[in-house]
Amino acid sequence: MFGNYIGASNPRFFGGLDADALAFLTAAGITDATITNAINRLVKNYKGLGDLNNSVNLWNVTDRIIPLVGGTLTKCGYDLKTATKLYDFFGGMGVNSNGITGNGTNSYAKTGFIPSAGGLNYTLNSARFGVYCRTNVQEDSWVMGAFSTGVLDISNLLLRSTTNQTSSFVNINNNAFVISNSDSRGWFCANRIDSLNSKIIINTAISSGLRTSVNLTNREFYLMARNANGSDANYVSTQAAFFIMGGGLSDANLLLERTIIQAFQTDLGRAV
Amino acid sequence: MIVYLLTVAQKNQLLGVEYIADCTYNPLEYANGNWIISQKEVEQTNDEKFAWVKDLLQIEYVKPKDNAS
Repeated sequence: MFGNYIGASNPRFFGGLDADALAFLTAAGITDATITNAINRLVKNYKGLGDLNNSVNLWNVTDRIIPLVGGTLTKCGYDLKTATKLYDFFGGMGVNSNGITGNGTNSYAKTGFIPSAGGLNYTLNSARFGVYCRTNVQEDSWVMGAFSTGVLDISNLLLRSTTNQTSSFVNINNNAFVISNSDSRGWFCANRIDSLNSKIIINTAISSGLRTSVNLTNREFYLMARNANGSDANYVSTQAAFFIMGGGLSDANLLLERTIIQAFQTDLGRAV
Repeated sequence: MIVYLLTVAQKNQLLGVEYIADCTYNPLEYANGNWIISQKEVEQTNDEKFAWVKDLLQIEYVKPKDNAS
């Protein structure tokens, strides 16, 4: 199946195909050599065993990795961390080898990822969720997240509003963490590693603000929209090429994760 | 943006139905008790059972203002 795998001839892939990479590729039915090598490198780097000169294991503090590869919604529905099909798509969702594209009207994905359910790295005071976006779109729409009844227990991410702002909630009730930003392309990750501060990384720039955590939402995260207490709402029209959900990271590890994801997108020829 | 107008009865027929592999129709409530689906959902419908969506009335979609905060 993986006859085109180039591991034996490339020092970067010494040690062969990672078992978790193989499990994902097998489950999703992906045999393409470029994707195989990119996924293998991604997994090894997430585990601190790759070529990016890191020994940090981000794999074990990440709950979901959604690489959006393969060019079909079926293949994009597979989760790398669990090698399982976890994501279901709705509405007029576009898909190609660069990822998925919302229509801004009714397209979104369900994840089954419920922060309050427990058993996750994602907790009240250690949480992160992020997206790699390939298009520069100005819209007051939320690329991922959920909130509970009464618009409480909010975890949402907005990339670029009509007023040129990036906005995030990480386990809070109000007062979004907002920073100026006029480009929705690249890596965005909302993050928290304590009860007091909320952070966001946009590509390599990290910003921090005082936002005290309150509660975990009991609603599942949606992608390309947000789960408004059980209803899909606020759909984006951007193109997404990667999502993650997991525990919070230090600044150094946020930057490391961005480096890993950027390398993955470059390997696939779809970096921005 | 063009969308296609559905009655409540038509909306109910589409609920839970995959129009392509791993993507389900998502009728959205719109004005005056009507519902809509997107152009992509209509264009990619191949099941003859749901071919009637090709004959739905087209309208220009006016996006409601989202909450950015």
